[in-house]
Amino acid sequence: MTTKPLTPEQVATLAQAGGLLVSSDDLPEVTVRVNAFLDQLAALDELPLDSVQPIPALPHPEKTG
Amino acid sequence: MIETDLAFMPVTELVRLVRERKVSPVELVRMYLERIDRWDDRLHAYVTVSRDAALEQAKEAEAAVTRGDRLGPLHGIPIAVKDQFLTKGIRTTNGTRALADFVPDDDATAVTRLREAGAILLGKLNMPEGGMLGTRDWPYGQPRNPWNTEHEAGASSTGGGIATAAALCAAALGEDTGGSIRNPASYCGVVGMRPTWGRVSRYGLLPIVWSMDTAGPMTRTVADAAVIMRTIAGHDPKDVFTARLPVPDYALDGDVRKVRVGVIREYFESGLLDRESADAVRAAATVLGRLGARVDEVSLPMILLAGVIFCAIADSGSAVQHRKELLQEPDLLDAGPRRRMLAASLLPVALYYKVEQARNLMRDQVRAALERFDVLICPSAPGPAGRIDRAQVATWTTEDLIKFWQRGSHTSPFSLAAVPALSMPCGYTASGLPIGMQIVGRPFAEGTVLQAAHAYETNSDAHTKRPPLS
Repeated sequence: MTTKPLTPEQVATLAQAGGLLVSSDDLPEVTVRVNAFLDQLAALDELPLDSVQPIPALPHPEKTG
Repeated sequence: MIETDLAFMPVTELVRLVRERKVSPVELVRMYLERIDRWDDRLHAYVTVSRDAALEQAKEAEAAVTRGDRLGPLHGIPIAVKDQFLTKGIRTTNGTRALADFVPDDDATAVTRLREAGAILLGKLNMPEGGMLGTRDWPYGQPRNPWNTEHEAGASSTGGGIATAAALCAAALGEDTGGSIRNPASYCGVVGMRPTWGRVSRYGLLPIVWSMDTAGPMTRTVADAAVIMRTIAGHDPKDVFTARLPVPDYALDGDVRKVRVGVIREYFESGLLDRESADAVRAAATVLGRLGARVDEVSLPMILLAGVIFCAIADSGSAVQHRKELLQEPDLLDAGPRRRMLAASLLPVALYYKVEQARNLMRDQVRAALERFDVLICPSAPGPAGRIDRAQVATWTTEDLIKFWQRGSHTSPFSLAAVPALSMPCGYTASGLPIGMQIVGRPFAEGTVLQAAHAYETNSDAHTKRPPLS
């Protein structure tokens, strides 16, 4: 990870800002998950994405039926 | 005929026996109900068994045979359905406690089409909460793999894999977003097909990710998968994203002489794949080569990133679907899915945008490979089903997550690319657990995938083995 991992306190604050309550039981794993996502998805920075459009689904082939 | 042989018989054979009045739909339903009574307390494939309604339908089906009525292609065949599909008059839980008493007043289109073809709805099949892998305390019982009940059965069409493998139904209808048909098919040693997104209606399917959810068959043979595909595929006015393309008849002749097969190299070089799985998939490629297919290696450089890309999208999608529970009744959700959804809710929007760009790049790479090859093949998972106790850790670590995403990288690339993919058994480990191989095709070329799968199946014996339960 290029940036410092988020602390549980920072994750709790982020969740609160989004209107979500993270219980003390959930907080350690949610923190691990957020940091793991940020770490693993940093690999996307190495990809040639500048000209790629973020289209979730492409149109189907021409209608024939 | 020994009853066990009848229970494991392919749908194509059962259809013939019903038509020739050699077996009655009532006999079939009673037989599968008895098997459910015998095995399902242990396996937990079913959430709901619609015993009375199934017997009633079977009696009507039997009367239709006696009258000489025109019969549908699945007339009298007992089929079970993942509990993610709406079923009129039969409760639909989506694997959640929140929907424990939800009884829909409509059928999903795929269910309607099965019924119209004459299938009998035997019951609803177990799944992790909201279709999210990582469920620890299964609301409707811990599913177990029929090949070894200490092992998991895959997810999220979990009950479909178990019930099909253990012959607790003739076939099942599953749902696949990132591998939810193919993973349990692989772990349970059955055939599972994810169609092209847009080939089968999503109407009445409780959503996970609108742009990747698909309905597809889980069967004991490739020919059975073809019959069910023919039944459920096609445009549906209730789902604007279904294609208006004609549905082929998916006739299978086992000829692969002109088929170009690309074996995806990265999986074999990743260090993730266990030796037995690697050997079994390579041996299957050799069989296809011997049958006249042109087999070569192909590189898809991004493929091992698919799991984390997919989960960023899927976990975010689920968080939106379940936002009300997350806000108001989080304890109704199992800790695994709840923590997945909470974490995804906190990802930066700009990162999600980049993830969607990466999805497109992945789609371009997969589809470019499919311009050079008719089908791609690869392992369905890095290894066989793991032990249940190992999947039940209280708090996941970074290493657990990375392993989970790496496993997802075996099925999710083809979900991200919106192409059809089928998992089928291609061998067994020394400890007796099934190994799955995937065959991937071009958009809407399910017929080519089924053809290659059928060619392999008819020249191998992995599909003939039965779990030790029977």
